[in-house]
Amino acid sequence: MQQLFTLYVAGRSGRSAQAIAAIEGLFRDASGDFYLTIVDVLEDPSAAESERILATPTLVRTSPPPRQSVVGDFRNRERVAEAIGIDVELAR
Amino acid sequence: MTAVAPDAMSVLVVEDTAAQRTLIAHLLRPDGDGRRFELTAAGDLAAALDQIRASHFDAALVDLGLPDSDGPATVASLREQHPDLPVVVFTSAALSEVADELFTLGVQDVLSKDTTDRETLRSSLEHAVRRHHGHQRSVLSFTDVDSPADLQRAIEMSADGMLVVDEDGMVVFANAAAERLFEGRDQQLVGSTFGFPLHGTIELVLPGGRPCHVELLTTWTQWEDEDATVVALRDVTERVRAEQMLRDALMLRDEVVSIVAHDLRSPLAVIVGMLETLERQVELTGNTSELMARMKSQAWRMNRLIENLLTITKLEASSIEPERGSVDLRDLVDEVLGGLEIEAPEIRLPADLRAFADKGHVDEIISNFLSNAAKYGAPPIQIHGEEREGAVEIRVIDHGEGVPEQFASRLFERFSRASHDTRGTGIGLAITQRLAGINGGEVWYEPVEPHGSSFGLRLPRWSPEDDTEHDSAGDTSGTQSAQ
Repeated sequence: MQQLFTLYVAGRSGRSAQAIAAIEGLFRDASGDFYLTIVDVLEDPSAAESERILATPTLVRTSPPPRQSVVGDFRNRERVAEAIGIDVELAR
Repeated sequence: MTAVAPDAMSVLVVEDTAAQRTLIAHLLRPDGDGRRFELTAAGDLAAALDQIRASHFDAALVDLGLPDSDGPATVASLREQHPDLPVVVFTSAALSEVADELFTLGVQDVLSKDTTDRETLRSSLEHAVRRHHGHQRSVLSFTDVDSPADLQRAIEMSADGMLVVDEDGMVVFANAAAERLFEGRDQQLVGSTFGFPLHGTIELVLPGGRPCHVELLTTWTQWEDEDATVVALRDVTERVRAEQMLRDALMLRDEVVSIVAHDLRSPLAVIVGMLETLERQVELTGNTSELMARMKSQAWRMNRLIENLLTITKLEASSIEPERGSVDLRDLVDEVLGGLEIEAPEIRLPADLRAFADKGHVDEIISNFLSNAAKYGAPPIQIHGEEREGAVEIRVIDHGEGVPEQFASRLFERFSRASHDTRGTGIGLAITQRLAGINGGEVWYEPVEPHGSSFGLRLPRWSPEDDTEHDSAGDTSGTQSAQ
């Protein structure tokens, strides 16, 4: 079953770029069907507002329920995977 | 030494150069109504650690390049042995590369020697001490907690923003400082989803896109009989801004260097060309021909410097991609020696010693080592190579005076050279280090007993599979670097 995620970042450089790379890497190396949407809250403030996002980077699993989210430094992939409940064997 | 005045701040200055210590003393001299600083100097890390054990200091001002310790390691040792001492780094080392690492180690501030003035230095030290102690208080208050009511009180009182987040990432409690951090948002913090918190630096989403960077720290706890996470949020916006400014300044410098180098190239080419025409067309005698030769050699030297500047800025911007393939080190050394006017060195290289690297880059590194040995060292010059632990190593050894001990740790930094020596440009070795790095290898320096220098290069060993994985098999000599 496909899992849908939204990653909220502020801008595309520095820590945001790091977060995007970390999550894309995680989904590439993990087994499963993942679909990632990236939302830049500086470009689209209303998206963050309607989803009531408090901080960036935040990764939200929007489907399947329950909705789960994680915020902080995403470079530790195991912690991220654990936090959003993707039960996966990391390829490396 | 006199007793420290009650309002004075005692600062340990860890700095190996006397001139820099004098400068710091000058920057922190008494100015009448402001804070007084009592300075104690330590010339290396060992002396600094001794001093801290012997007396109390409010803060340490630390240079990264010390005779007995280099880079973030200096800070790591200090922080590990004396976590209570606030540390401000004051250095000229390439800051952009290490700033993040330094802050992770708990450094309060990182200042560049090139740009810091009196006011910045003074206020940085004052803030360092205040922040450090504020932080300690909030940590301490947690260790005193033994009942849930105490915990809630400790969280309410904390100067840092505190959220309590349940297992689903929902905020169940926010203290006043946290409410202030999120000021201007319509929705209530309590009941909002924060997300499962992981340590790190995050940016708050605030009305109007107002930037606010906070450092996020977490502790597990029980909140109303449920598992929960206490999230401490510390505003580090100023620090992040300072880091960014530092990075921008360094990028700007590289850009300026690159533009200037480019622009200097064409007029210089014209000068060199005209000198050569002049030499052919005019009959030169005695003194004039000597002058002509010197003009030409200086023009070529300037050309080399410009090429080196362009190479290093390209390397810093990582716009050079190595074209890696098999490089036979013995063939390469023969080629390099053919192009250099130096006395034949003693060569000890096993046959078929092959590195997996960009041939042009290896050529550049070995040429640099050899011309340094010829320029600054003394014969006999030796070239030794061997295979070791899946890598190939090659060393260029001379028997001159060697590198002064206090300079050895900065040898590969940009624009550094031994102070008594004005012959080099201080870029060559920095280039070798970066070229080795992008080829998956490294360069290093070792003194030779009883006297002399050994410069080493270690690269991945070539194996037949490397060619099947990469299309650029065999003799790849492509490179954009300077010759």
